[in-house]
Amino acid sequence: MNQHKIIFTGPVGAGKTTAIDSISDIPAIKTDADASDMTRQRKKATTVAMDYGVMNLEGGEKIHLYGTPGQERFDFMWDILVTGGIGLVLLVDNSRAAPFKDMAFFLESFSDFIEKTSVAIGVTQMDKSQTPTLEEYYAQLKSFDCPPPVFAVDARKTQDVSILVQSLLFAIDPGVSCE
Amino acid sequence: MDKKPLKIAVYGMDQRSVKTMQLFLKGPCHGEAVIVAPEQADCELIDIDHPQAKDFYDQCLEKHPERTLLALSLEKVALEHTLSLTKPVSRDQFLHVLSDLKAAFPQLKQSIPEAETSRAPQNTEQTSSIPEQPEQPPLKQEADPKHEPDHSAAQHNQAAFIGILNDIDFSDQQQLASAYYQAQDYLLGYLKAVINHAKSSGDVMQMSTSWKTIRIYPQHGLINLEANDKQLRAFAGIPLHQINNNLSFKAIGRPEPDLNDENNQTIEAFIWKLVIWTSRGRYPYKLALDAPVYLKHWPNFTRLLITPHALRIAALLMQGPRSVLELARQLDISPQYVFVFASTCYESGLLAPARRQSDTLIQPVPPPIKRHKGLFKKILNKLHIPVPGESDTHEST
Ligand SMILES: Nc1nc2c(ncn2[C@@H]2O[C@H](COP(=O)(O)OP(=O)(O)OP(=O)(O)O)[C@@H](O)[C@H]2O)c(=O)[nH]1
Ligand SMILES: [Mg+2]
Repeated sequence: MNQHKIIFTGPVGAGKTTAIDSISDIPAIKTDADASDMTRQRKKATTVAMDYGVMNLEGGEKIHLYGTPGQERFDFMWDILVTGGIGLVLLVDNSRAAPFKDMAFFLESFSDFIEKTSVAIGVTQMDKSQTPTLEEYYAQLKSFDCPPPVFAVDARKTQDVSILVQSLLFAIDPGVSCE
Repeated sequence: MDKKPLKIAVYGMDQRSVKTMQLFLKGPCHGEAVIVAPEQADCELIDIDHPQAKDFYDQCLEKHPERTLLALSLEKVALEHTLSLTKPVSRDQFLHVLSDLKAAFPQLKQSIPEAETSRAPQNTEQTSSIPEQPEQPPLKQEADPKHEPDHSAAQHNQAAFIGILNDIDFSDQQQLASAYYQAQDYLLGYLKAVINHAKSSGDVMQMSTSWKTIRIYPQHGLINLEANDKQLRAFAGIPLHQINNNLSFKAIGRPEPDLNDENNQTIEAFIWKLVIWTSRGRYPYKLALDAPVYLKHWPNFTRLLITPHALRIAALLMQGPRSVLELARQLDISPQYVFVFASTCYESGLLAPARRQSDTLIQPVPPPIKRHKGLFKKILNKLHIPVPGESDTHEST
């Protein structure tokens, strides 16, 4: 059977593990380890390998949910990870120093994959940091032929994550409908 | 087909009728639906021939305006927000309605816990004091069969999100074209003007209606109204001239809002809802139905009330300008959904007529290629968790 995957990416602490956990049918397999050096200030544990969750669909099919490691030094795994992927969920932590730089970095790193599939962007931690605003995100993404969905997302809220993933699927194919 | 049963609360039936109906649902209807207590229901069924049917009806609308109402009656009735079933109800008739209902609310499949299926109904004949409703559609006998609700998914969704406009036949081109609203005739238009004023002056505005006081905090992007969504929904749909309303507003300086007050909502989310309940499936008067429109960006759907098909419509429109009618055609959905979506985006400034480029209109892009179709459908069915607004919680700040 086909390996269907949705990839979650974004900088350290953006909420990837939490987002996967909130829509996965199994508790997300977290590969968090104690953070050391640079990331220690930001959060207690950071993902060093890959997060994994799964959505069981009717008819026995599965969607595998993979989270990329937040630490940039492991990016060699990304290529392997995206093979066979349906689309990309990019979470951007609005409370980090330069969220637009983060966003550009991930959009660039996954540009081939995005070209072939699609991306949906969730801006997290907006409760902690209201700026930049979504308006500013839209402006950043103006150059896209078909600007991707950008929503305020709290990764802890299943509904937010669900709407984000739904928008990703519709962005790939608006013709699809639920029954 | 779907294994999760639809949960129905019944009103106006005695214990024996309830038992009979339970057997009918279990046997001929293969357990596609079950009778539950009102608190747990997905939709409500009223026996219209019961002497207190009118009370049940008002009560259901008041308590659960988001639920679809089924009216069971000897004679066909045309009630607002209601689907009518005539007695004796046949298995086919009932299953048809059920499958439409389920199709219209795919989220039901996720939200129905298995364990509750055998719960007996409580208080099926209850009455309670019913607060006054601003809008009281009369219980009238159906005279013209043309207006009979067709049992399309559109109608059910309408009942839940938009409110059925029984008097418009959206398959009739002429009626379709005249299915517009003018914001200035409703609270919406007035409120938008006050908000603009607040934003340009920076002052907090206090707006009085004969109904409630609304406060607008432009610096915080907040609006304060001491009313829940049901009340707002009812008020939104009434033309101002009908309620003889003297609206007024005044600037009250720059007091700080109480950020813990649950009656605060973002202006954006509030206007969005208000448009939905003003439009009720109609389109804004100023928007041409057959001229291409474009969407500036995806609405921030995680913080807005999502109407049926809104994500799909947004996705298609982001691919390039199309007319409102073209959208409905390409997505193969009832124009009402596109109308209400276009209304929300238009009134929020996200949607506008497409500009001409070197004097030729931007060509609509051909319909997208369909990949992963079956798979996507399954994922979407799985993900369909109740969207904001299906509960009564305010979108807070
Ligand atoms: N306040 C707030 N907290 C959030 C939000 N989204 C996620 N979080 C929290 O942010 C923290 C980090 O989330 P994680 O899911 O561990 O982030 P991650 O992207 O997996 O991080 P790495 O694995 O280190 O790359 C968790 O405590 C989440 O509960 C949000 O919108 N607001
Ligand atoms: Mg993680």
